[in-house]
Amino acid sequence: MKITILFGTESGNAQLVSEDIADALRGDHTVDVHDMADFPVSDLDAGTLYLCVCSTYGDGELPKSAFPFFRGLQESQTSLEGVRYAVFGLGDSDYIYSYSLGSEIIDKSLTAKGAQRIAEYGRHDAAAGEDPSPIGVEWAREVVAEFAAVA
Amino acid sequence: MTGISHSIAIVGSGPAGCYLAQSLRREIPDAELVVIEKLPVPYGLVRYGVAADHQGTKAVSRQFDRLFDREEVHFIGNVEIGNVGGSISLDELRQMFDVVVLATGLSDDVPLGIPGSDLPGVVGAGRVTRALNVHPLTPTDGMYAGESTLIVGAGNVAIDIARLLAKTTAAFSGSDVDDELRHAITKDLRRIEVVGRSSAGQARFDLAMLRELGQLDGVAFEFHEASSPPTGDEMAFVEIDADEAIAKRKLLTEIATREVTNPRVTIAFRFGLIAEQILGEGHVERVRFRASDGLGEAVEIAANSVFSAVGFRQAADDRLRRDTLVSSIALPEEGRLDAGLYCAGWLRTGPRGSIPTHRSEAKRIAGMIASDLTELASRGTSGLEALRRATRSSSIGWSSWLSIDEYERSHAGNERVRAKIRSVDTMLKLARNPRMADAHP
Repeated sequence: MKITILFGTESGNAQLVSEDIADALRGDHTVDVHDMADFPVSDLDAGTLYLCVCSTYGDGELPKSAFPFFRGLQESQTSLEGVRYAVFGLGDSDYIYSYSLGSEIIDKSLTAKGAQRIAEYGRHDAAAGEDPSPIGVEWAREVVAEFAAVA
Repeated sequence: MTGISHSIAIVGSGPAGCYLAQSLRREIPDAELVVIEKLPVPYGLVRYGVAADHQGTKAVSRQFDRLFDREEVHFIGNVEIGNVGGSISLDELRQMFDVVVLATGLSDDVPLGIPGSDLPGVVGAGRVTRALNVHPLTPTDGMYAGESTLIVGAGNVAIDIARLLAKTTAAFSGSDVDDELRHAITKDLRRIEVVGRSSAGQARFDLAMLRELGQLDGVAFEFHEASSPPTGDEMAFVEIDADEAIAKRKLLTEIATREVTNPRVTIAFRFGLIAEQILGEGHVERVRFRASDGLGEAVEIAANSVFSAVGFRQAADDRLRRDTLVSSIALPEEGRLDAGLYCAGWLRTGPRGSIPTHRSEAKRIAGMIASDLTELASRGTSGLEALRRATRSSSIGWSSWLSIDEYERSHAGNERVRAKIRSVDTMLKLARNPRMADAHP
């Protein structure tokens, strides 16, 4: 299976989780990891499973590295029908109002262009103190299993 | 390039130093990278400056653990670099390594600099944050808030202090706060004044920080503005986001009008006031302010204690003063001080920018160093080995920190993530004899 992990990060935590997910999946799949800042929307294709790992910044805003991808989605005239993705949001429930909202902005933008979100919406709460990497890896394995079942 | 690749020493293991190590590892995979820390324990501001209840922010340390665990970045703790009194002078360090980067931060509170600011009962916000984070070199004496306290400043640090003082013990679940000290400071506290010089809309705090404060149980809020809020026209002339200013004022109004029955603590926000003098007989009793618009009347606010949260600067006893290190080829604003000598983080920028800002800054500085290194021959010897030889009796390495870390986690109290060790001696004993961890609590 071809899997592309796209991360949106401010502090680097989402990148770390993405690289750990990639390491865990690499044995069985072809996995690429890209910063959303360097990934053109026009590269999204129907044959690949996209795992979007995105944090939240400020008062529920996108992290800096997700902005170019978000703008690309806003400006894109092309339908993303057939593109399938799953979302893993990193947040901090100390800031309950904005908890995990950044990833939701990416989710809504992809859906708005016709892409289809599959599987569980993964979330990690930094305030809970658990390491996000194993939680992200477990989430990714479930997504991959579900994608394999429908593909 | 000669035999071995370039060796790079980063002085300071706070977020700026560790982000730089991370970027340098990606930029120059074969460089020898060493992070040197004055204390036996790593992470500087992440461990001691980020409020004890913001574990989500502290979790950035997982990225840094990775550098030392797996990516061949070397940690050398308990080594202070300084030309006067350090264990190794900067010149000596520069002879060992091809590149030295100073990322020692700004740890000292900017003093209020007004009459009365040396009265007992006046404490810097950074000092109390560090003390509640169990910083070994931060004295905890004189930190009693009394029944009412006043925080000068209205940035995120002021909000941190208000929150640390107003929260219940139970609400510190999952933190590593010093409970005993927090109780000693706050046991009689009923009222917190947060006083800013700007208007409410221009205040420096982030909305998310105020929202978090606004959710505390048993806390009532007041919102006072000395001068009339600026009109839309006036706002066009100041450098603020008008939407953000409106949102800040709206949120303050909203939390101040919320009904709270029998509040445990009241937090009063006041804006447009400049502190002029702290008054009291032998101890803080009240603070006098003038209106920052020059029109309003002077006011006096009673308080048993004052926390100053108006910024950070280099500590007076800091052994590496940036202003004395700048050479003729320096571009200090870009981070280059001399050939092979750089600075990063708050030492470079001043006390501006959040932790993640310094991640992008680190990428830029790492790129600059990598490009400079194409012109600089490696001296071909290991800086790490030379430094270890020179500090053999005192320095400790990563595995020692892991022993201390394990001890702190395993001794955490109920609902706490770790019990930090305050004494450097105890840290060093644990570092040298990890089995001590089993011996006594």
